[in-house]
Amino acid sequence: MSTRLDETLRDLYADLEREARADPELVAALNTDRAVPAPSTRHARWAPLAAAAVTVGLIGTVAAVATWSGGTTGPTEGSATSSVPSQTEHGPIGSLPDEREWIENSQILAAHAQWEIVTFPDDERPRHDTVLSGSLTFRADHTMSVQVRGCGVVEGRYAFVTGDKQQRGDSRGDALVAEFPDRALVPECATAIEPGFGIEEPLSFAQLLEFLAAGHPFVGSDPRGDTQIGTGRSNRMAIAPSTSAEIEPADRTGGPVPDVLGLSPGDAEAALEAAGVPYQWNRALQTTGSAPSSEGTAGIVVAMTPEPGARLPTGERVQLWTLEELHNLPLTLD
Amino acid sequence: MGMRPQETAPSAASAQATHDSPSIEAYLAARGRALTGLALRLTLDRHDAADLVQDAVLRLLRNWDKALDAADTDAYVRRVLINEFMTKRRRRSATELVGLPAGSERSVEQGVRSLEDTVTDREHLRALLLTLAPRERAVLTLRFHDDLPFSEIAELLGVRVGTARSIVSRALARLQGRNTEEGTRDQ
Repeated sequence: MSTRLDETLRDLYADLEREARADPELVAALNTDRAVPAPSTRHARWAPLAAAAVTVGLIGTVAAVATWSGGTTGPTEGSATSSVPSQTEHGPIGSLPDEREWIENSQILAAHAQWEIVTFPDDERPRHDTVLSGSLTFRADHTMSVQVRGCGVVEGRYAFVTGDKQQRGDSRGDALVAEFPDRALVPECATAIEPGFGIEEPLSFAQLLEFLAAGHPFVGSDPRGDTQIGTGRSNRMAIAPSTSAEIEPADRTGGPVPDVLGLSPGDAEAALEAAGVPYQWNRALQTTGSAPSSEGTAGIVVAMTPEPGARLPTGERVQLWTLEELHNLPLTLD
Repeated sequence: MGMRPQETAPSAASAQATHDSPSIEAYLAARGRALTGLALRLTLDRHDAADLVQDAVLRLLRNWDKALDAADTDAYVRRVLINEFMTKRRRRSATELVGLPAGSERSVEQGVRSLEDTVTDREHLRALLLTLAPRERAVLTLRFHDDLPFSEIAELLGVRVGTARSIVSRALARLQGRNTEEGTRDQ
């Protein structure tokens, strides 16, 4: 063993230790309130940014009732009902069923499904010091809105974001709806979040598919404009146009999603094909709900996960949809 | 968890964790900084470290009673973090392209040369460490920062003592080997 290497290792680790202890982000990560944030706090935190935000509402009209434990910002907003009494609306994460139970019990999954739009891609996730932020709002009528907080450069690329960015915009349940690989594709960020940008209300999921098929820049900003749909071990279903090259057909067979969501990969494929939307499978969506591509990736990712705990830091208890329900899901601009 | 031996001695908070069943919040307030240190030494990236800490906190929230029941709460917590790290890295390596941060490839090249010359450039060594397997990274920091005996390292990783030794040796050899390979190529 090299003594010098040994010494350098020790010095490096000592440096890292000091760095960690002085790093406010790392210290903040210890906060259990952050792991299960109080929705009111979250909204208050982002409230100053709301004035400049365009709100994209994603209104769930699903039959299966989700348990939502946060996002209340006013008397008209609150939690949806739950068919599982043990799931308290604001309960600590420790009160949740064991992860294995979630996986094994589809009934519990149905009641505790989470809804999230995830950052895309994961490996190039935006950092918290970007201008981008957002939050999710759930209402008593089971509707939810995703607030666009802004646009700007994310890790050297242009993007705009919706959703909860509390965690700094990574795949931890945060929301990044579109990410543009090239500024030329988004001449002005401000344009990108204007109502005329592309989404008119109401936009059903079927319309969204048409939107994708048309190669609209909102969702198809990459040159290829292809679309990915993936389901997998994290029980997510996602649709995203992307330039990701991580296509592995074998992934189609992975994961318990068909049993959990009632949505088979075949169903998803059929829906896209019926809509004339080119798509590809992205293996990364199967685990993190986001893509690994190191190349510029653009897309809208709609992900659902009953994966317990994994993305609970943002506090959302969200919705589990069937494909049919997704087709009836209107997207609106507030 | 990222502590020198004198720091790993049960603190008042730790003792309380065992006997008085304090909240996880109280424990983290008293001991959490060491957790962040370990996370950064494992991930070598502050953002990944923050993620890792949050993942570990989530895990602990679910299993805090087990942590309190453990013979050594500190060791339990450290094990949770390490397991999260290795699990997370395995998951990534199985499903995603794991690349070095932008520019790191060059840093590695530079790091190799630096090792050959002086072995003093910590940033380059940091880049080199990124090329190691998660378990190798874990054992190195447990050994060279925490100064843990191989028996403890083995227990934390759930391996035999001999295996822990060989992981350390292999990790060091890999670092040195890269240096040798690079030096040969340069000739």
